[in-house]
Amino acid sequence: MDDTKRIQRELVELIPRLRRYARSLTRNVADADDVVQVALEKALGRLDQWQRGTRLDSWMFTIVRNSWLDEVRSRARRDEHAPFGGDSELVAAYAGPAEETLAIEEAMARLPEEQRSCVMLVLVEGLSYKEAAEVLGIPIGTVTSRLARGREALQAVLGPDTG
Amino acid sequence: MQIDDELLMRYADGEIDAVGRARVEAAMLADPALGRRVAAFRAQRERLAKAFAPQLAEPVPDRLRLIVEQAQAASPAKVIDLGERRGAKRLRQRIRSWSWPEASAVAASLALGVLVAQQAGHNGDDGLRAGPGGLVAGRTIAKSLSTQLASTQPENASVRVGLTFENQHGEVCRTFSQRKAALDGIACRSGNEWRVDLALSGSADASSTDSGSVRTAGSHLPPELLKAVDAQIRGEPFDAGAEAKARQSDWRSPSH
Repeated sequence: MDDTKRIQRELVELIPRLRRYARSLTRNVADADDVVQVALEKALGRLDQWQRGTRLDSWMFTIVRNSWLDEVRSRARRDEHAPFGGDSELVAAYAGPAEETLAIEEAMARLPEEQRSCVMLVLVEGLSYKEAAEVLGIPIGTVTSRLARGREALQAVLGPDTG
Repeated sequence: MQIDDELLMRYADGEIDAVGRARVEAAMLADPALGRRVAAFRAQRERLAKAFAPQLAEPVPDRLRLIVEQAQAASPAKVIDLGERRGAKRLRQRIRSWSWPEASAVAASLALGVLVAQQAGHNGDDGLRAGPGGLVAGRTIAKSLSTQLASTQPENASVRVGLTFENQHGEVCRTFSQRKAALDGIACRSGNEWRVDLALSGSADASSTDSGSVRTAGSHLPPELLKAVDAQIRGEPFDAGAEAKARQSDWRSPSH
């Protein structure tokens, strides 16, 4: 019981990071929150599947991404005209985003999802390549090459990063 | 050893072993441009982290917080120790610490045990069977491997296909998991058979006990399976297009 409470407290603390990752997938604040909601419900229903000693955040990123992929698929099946990422609501929803942030978000939005997820999970969320590989269900070598391509594309758009 | 950009990136990200690190550092001493490249990778990480940091300070909508907190009030969610699965888990941990060929051989013999046990029960169509050169997929698994595409297979398929890739020998290989027998493996197209190069029993338990979407899109393959794919893969896993094309050519490698 205490254990459950502790996990739930950790889940609440994770919500801002889950929203941030979900936004990078949906590129839309409202859709991102829906995805996070679905993911939280799923996670709560199967806390027994989370293995103690493994990272709760990695497990939640996996569920967030799969919830989003499910939603994309079912939208495609329903043939709706509201695909994810089709508008620019995301940027408008932030409180006074800096110009720099806007530029980075736009550059990120141009990346294919698989590169974008690698960049988000490794560079923004701080996962190791191995942890990102497990979240995305791909080999580590693939994370490395996707990350390299994503970083290169970002640099091409944003200009070189000088230390 | 050639110092390519990817290696420098791994160095900058701290994703490199001691030997590689020493090599990169020696090369950087000789060529200052390499050091600048590493600094650029680190600056880029910092720049991105900084740009996305403010999002964490935004207030969390009540509806999201309440989902978690009210679940607490209603019924304590199940927290089950994986006691009954502990055997399988320990086994997996052991396999994980072995080198790949060794793990493969042992796991294959384990799977053979599963196979024999299954064949005692039914006609053996379901599992793996002994071929002339080792284990091959039985009829059910072989049929799924030959016909299913990861992107279109039904959620509740009895055998699900995960990643498709080309191995170092230029063969097309696919990961599969059979729910009923909790069997995960890698099979490569060889002649008219699917040769099973790795089979793990009992590993499907943690993430696929129900048909839920935690395990979709080939995600959540057992880590030891991914590790084996990593060791064997040439290039990247097939995307949906390449997968469909490979099926058309009966899973013969595009490069052969």
